[in-house]
Amino acid sequence: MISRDIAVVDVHPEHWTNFIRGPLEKPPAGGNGWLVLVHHDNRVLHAVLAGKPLPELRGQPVDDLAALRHRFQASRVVCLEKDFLRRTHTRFDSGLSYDMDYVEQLLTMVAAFRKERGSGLRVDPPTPPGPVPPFSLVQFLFNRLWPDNTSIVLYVIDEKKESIWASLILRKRRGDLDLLTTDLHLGDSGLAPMDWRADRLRLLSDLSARVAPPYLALFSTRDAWAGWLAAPFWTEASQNNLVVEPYPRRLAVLSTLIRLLTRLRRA
Amino acid sequence: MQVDGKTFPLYSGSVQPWRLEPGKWGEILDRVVELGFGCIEVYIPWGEHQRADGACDFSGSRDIGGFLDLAFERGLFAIVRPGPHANAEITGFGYPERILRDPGMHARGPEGNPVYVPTPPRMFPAVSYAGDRLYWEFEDYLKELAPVLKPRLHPDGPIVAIQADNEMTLFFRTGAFDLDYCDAARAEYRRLLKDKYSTVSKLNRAHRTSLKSFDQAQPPRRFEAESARELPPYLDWAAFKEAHLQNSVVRIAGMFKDQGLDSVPVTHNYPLGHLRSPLDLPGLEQGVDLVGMDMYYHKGDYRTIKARCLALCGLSRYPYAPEFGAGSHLAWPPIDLPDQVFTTLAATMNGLRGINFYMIVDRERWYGAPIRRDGSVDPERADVYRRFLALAKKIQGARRSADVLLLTTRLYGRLENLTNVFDPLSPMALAGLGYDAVSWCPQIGMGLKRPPAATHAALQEDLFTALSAARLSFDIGEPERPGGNLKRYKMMVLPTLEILEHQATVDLLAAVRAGGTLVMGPDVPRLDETGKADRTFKSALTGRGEKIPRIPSARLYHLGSGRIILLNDLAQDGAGLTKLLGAVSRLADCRTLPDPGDPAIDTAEHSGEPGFLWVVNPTGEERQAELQLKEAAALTDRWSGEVFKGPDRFNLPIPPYTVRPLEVGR
Repeated sequence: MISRDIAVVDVHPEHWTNFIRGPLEKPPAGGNGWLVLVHHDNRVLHAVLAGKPLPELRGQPVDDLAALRHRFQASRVVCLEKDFLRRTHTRFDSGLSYDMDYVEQLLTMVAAFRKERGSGLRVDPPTPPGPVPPFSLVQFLFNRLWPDNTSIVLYVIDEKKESIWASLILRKRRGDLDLLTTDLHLGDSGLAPMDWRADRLRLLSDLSARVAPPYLALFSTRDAWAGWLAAPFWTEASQNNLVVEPYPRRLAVLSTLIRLLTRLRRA
Repeated sequence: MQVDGKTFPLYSGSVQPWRLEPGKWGEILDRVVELGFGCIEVYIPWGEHQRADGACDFSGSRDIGGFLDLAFERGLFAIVRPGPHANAEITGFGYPERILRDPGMHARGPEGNPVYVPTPPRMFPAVSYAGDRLYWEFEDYLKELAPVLKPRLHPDGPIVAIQADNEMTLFFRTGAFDLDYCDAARAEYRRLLKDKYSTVSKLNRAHRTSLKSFDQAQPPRRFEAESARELPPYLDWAAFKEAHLQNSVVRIAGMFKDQGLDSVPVTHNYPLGHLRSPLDLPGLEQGVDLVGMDMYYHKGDYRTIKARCLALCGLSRYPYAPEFGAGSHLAWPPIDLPDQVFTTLAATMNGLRGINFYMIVDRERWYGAPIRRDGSVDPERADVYRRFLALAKKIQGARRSADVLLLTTRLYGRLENLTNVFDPLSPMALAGLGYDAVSWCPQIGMGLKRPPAATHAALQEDLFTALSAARLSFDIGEPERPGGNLKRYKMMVLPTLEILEHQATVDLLAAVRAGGTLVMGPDVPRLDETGKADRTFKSALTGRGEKIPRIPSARLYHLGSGRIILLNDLAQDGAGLTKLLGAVSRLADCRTLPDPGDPAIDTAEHSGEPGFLWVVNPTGEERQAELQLKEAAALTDRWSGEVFKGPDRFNLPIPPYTVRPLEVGR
């Protein structure tokens, strides 16, 4: 899924930073942060709340994590059996291979942690149930959802400042993401932010020639992007302020499915 | 940096030529010169230059000689980094594929498993530095590279320093019981035991074992000591790990010299994180010429930046950051331009004297440098570096100095790592999660009245805070080394508990007898590092000690021409500790820094002509500094250009996350 020789070039520092940090002010973290407990025979050996030690919990039982979470107003309680980290490290280190894809390596690590869920590792609120999917399935879905030799394009435009606020161009080849870049890669033929609605077609055509034909392209104003991210899920698609084109049918179907499932879950 | 008798500020920037178009090299180097840099730092990764068949490729984009010649033509100096470890965000960190695929080359965990470095885009097995094989393989590469570099050493070429390896921490896995348990490392551990104990019976007495030969000795795999008398095997393992890292770098440095690359200094860089065991900066500086510490920080990290810089001031020959974040790697939280400005100025304020900006030229897998890979410049970023290099010239003659040395000892650093409740997560990894030693040291008492590792770590943090609040200029150091360093300070502060290594005791008492002032407490050490009774300190503190006016809890003991101030109530709340340290520092005639009237604002003085007063607002809100400076007519902010008129009293607004280097006009 991720090429070991992935080219990450011409990353515009502001575009990338804005993309990572997001358009919205981060809400203050709920509660006092994480309460991490290390225990032996169900008695606390060491407790840390938001990075600060909590000696008063030493020797206390760890039966009721939810009660501890409420007592210390922690956003999450992570309870580790004394040797859990050592065992888990040994397990995933023994299961990893240099020939695995990075995603497969990550799944191997996650599987090692999940194997001890409920015994060596307990978390409150609990993490979602279910097994870690096999990498072959993940790769299969990845290939179905994103064909080789195409690109995915994202542009967010700050219309007030008449500038590009975030951009991202990804390319897939031979089953792997092999290029990550931004508008900077296109030099003088990058998107004209003042006239982005019209210029995007020219840009996509250029991208076809210089990178790979776009498979999915999303262009948005900064406000629409913020609203879109803040909305429950895919609920806002402001006509002129958010343009998704090309928008492959299978992705449209998938997004509709996810939207329905999200609504059902809420209901 | 002194070259041919001339002193240059060591400010350089990283350029990685094999990732750039050779046709652009000249243009890019022209931009580097235009920014004001006089030195570049150049990686020459082993895996990028040696092909699978073992032959080396120094042509095209790998023509390192040609690139260095272009730098020389432009009057640039160069620091080169041939490895073996490069990192440089290369897949596999710059080792050749055959090394990464050879199980015989892999470091091992306690269960004998290989250990993976969890970095994108591909995790790879950590390479072992034990035994000879890695060095033999690297020597083949070095033999081909040396003829390219040797004619380009100063004065015939631009190379003024060469770096041995990179961030020697076994790939950031510095957990006490994580790496390296491979056969060769175990053999090295046994050799260390043999050198230390000479006979098996002495080893058996110290380790409480009944071995028949040194070959039977096994490294510990977890911390299980329940009393101080059971510490020796664990401390020996910690000492081995320190020696192993150190010897590996020194061996590589020796290989450079063997290949004739011996006329320039050899440097090394420790990674950011926790500058404690198994790292040993002054120890490594006995084997190579200069050791710095890498810094990739954000503007919210002021306390950490200050702590790291003060440790470099106290431990290193020259406070230097061989990698200082200028831009960022995609896998990290972005380091933006305001971060770069704030961290660069904050580190300089706190005594950092040399910086290699990593990177000054963008390249694959890096963004945010002032020069792009096509040779164009990012105007905003370029302006920042031009301004900083201009400021560096202005402040070159001024020096920060410290009257106080906050001490820790090897023993406590080792105990912090050995008792880490989250091992094998390393202190470095935990530091990245916002944890410090206070958070990972459990309350393991080992039969002592206070848990030593946890208490010492907490006292260190409290003392750091209190010394800052008392407006004292201080460094952070260790008593054991480098020898003679202690004489620089008017006052040494060491949180002491019941246990302290014998050699540290001897060194401290020698420094006191020579005229030093040692502030210690809350306990008087009574045990050495093996848990045996050690009356060295006790016998130095004869009698009941003198009372000190206005400090009822303190006792003063004279020793030689110096003195010891014992504070039994060193473990107390912040305001009380600040007051206490302020009072004892006056006895030692330590100067205090100007008080801006706001505890959130920190200050530093750099003396010289002209002198500089630095003030920093490390918070997200605007602050006001009210300064009283006798005989000062005006303060000129040499970063922003603002001038604040006096005389004597100054009222300065300080915007959020802002450092003001104020030139003091008389």
